[in-house]
Amino acid sequence: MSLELTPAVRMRGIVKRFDETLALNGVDFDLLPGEIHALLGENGAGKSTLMHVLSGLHAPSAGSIEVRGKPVRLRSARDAAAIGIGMVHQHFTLVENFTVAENLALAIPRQTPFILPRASLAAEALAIAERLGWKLEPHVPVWQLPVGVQQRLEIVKVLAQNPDILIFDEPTAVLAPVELDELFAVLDRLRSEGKSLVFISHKLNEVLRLCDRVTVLRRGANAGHVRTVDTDAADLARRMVGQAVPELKEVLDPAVPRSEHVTPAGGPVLRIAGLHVRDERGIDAVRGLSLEVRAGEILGLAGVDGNGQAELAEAVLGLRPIREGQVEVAGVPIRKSDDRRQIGYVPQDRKRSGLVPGMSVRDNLVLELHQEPQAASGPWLRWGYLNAEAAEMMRTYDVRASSLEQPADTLSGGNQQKIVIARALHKQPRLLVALNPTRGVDVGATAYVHEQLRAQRERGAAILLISTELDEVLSLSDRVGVLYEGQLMGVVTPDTSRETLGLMMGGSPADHGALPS
Amino acid sequence: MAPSLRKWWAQTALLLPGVLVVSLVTVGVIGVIVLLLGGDPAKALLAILAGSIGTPTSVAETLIKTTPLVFTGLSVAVAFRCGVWNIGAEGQFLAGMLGAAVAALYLPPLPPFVTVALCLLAGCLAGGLWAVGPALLKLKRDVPEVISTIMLNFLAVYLIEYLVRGPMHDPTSASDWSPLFPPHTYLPRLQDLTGIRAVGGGSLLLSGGQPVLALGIEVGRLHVGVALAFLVVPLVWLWLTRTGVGFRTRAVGLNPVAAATAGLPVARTLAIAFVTSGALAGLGGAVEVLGLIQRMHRYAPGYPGYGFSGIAVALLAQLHPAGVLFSALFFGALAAGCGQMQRAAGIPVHVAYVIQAAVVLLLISVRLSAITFRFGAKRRGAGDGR
Repeated sequence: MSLELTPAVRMRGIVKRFDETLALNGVDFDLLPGEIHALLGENGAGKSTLMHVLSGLHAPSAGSIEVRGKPVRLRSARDAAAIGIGMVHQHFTLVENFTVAENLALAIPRQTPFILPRASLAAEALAIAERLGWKLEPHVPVWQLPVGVQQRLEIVKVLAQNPDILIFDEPTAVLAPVELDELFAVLDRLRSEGKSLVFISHKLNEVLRLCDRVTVLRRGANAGHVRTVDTDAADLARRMVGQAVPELKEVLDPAVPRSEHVTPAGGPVLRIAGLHVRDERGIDAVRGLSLEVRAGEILGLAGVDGNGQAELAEAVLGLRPIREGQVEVAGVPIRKSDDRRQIGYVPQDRKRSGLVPGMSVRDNLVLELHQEPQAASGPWLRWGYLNAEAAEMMRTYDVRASSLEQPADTLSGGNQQKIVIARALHKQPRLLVALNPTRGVDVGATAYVHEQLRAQRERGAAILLISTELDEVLSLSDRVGVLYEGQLMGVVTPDTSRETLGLMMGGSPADHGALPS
Repeated sequence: MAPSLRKWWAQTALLLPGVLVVSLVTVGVIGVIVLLLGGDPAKALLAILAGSIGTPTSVAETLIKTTPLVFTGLSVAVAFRCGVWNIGAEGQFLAGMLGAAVAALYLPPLPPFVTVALCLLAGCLAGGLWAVGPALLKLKRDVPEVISTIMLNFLAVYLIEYLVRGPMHDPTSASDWSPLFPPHTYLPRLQDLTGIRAVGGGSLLLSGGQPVLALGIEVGRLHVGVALAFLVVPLVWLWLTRTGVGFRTRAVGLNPVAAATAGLPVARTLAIAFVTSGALAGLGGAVEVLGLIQRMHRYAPGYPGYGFSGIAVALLAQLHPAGVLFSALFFGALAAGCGQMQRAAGIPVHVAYVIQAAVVLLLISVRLSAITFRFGAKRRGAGDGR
């Protein structure tokens, strides 16, 4: 059957060079009409770059592209849209201050040069949304919408240009399980309408569940091309990483029980009582939350993104004012971020809040340490001491850089995360707060982070792990709490059924099987 | 020693393409503008050369013109490195002049050295104080510093105008200026301190007798402030790279969110950088008024302009203290040379301002950073913690 089909997209020998780095080195890619085709690979494998080439954002350095059998040269996203290629970006391309309708109007080709028939354009797009079973409020500013709804808007925006080739760049990264199901239903529906879909991901179970065929990329080259019915997670993972990765099994298969952990939990290190915290908009993001984390245990907090995770972490760190309630670390109330000796923090967005780009690996490693009394004499920093400590941290935490002087933003994502981890752990904190510590890092780095968290637990640190990856929370935690709209829906054991957890994440409190918090 | 020397050279060599571009752009701009005005470009360029680095006297003139630019350039560089967009070096410079002037006119007689030190300190404090308001407004009320510092520039201009017409007015003169400062408040001449009148002497001449490169410096006109400018450059560099607060200044400037997340006191760091920036500009004003002018007179808005030129100086230097020295020397030489061009080639002085502005504009548009960094992509961020 497939012999008779002209591929919707046929890419051959695509090369893309950015200055000195070779992002794509002769990649082939075929997309058939009416299929969902997964593009799988680790961070930096070239998945997004390849699709940016297809959607006209990057000009390839070499190679050919055919769309529906005709050779094309794409010079811009507009060129690509004109021949029916649309891309739903991982980072949304919405104007936050505009309303839903205004954002939709922007995406639709103009019909008149001066006056935008906003109402009719938006109505057209809202009709598309409705056809997918979504309801969008046209006059709400985008910044007020939850992430999941913003993504729907993003998808509708692309669909409004009526493409028949659709690219989704890691669309599930920000979604809750329920939203995930809804997204998959929509993708399914688009496939049944005859559209061709590319699904970029590094989550094996999603790929296996949703897609027809898989193209695996590794370091900018093809590393396999299979039908999903002919493969399994282990095979795909091998192709993706190219070598055995410790703990890979656990990362792949969340059903594997967590490692037996023997250190008994000690006294409480973190104590939160009746905490209220506001977000940027002045709305209560954490509402009356109380919990305790004891020495030698990992308390995992699951929950869908945007339910107060970041605000909770920042309040514990003293980075965000506490409106009501108490936070105590080792018996001392947190007020300002001045004293951080007791607390290690792994923030969620290493580019934004973890690293200082443009500073060296060394400077980033000692970003916290340089404030310690032993790091300075008078106003002068003791660079001898700091250099030695940085070198030690680089060794201990296996940061792979050419030297301490290398600019941190030129490292791979995994090594950047190791810098952040090194900074948090080097001071041997009594409390470790980790907020989505593996978001956007590859399988190998994920395993590394998990190993470090376990090692900290063995050492006797209290660990508050806040993560939207339910698998991660379940495989690491001694106790599992679920956050919903800034409240704790309950604290349960990690062997609680996923159905129960799913309900809690949807806002129903745990009624039985809950542990005292 | 050898490896560090090689490293130094490797970093210095990065500047060469930039220097080449700066020279070519400058020569090109001058040539075109002079040609458009119907002048003789060759004659004008030779006059600029003679007036900037051609003779021992012109070298001294260049150094005099460079000195205030070093201070304002450093002021802007420190603020920008912390992500503080201080456009108010002009006002802080004027405040520094005023602070030094008040101290010079009203301090009781003290030993000359003490008096001069106190006057410089007064200028420094006044410049820093001029930045305290915008810093507080920024941190407490989210007022953009670009706006508040520009407003304070006007405040400085008109405060001085009021004072030199009123309370500080020289009763023996019809002009809007203060009395001359008492002589013991003047910055000492280097000649008086060291006994050296000149270092080297003579010039390389073209066959037509045109001087093109001095073989010495006339020390006669130079005051201590010139030496102070050269001393402050390494001090600011040490401050940025070797002290905790300098380290935090750079970290906050590059990523305030990550700095706050790592527990750095971001607000305090911003405030320190802002006030330090103001104090540097104020010190420049004090040096200028005590070393050269020796009385306070009124300024039209936009004059003397050293604060605004400081922004160009700092940007051309890519906010690096050592770069500020070279870029201030470049602008100082251009200013001194244009004066000579006016005299020798009959080009009006305002054309000189046009030339300076056009050179800055072109240099910013050729993106010096791109040129330097392409040559040094691997070395970027090395050593100096840039």
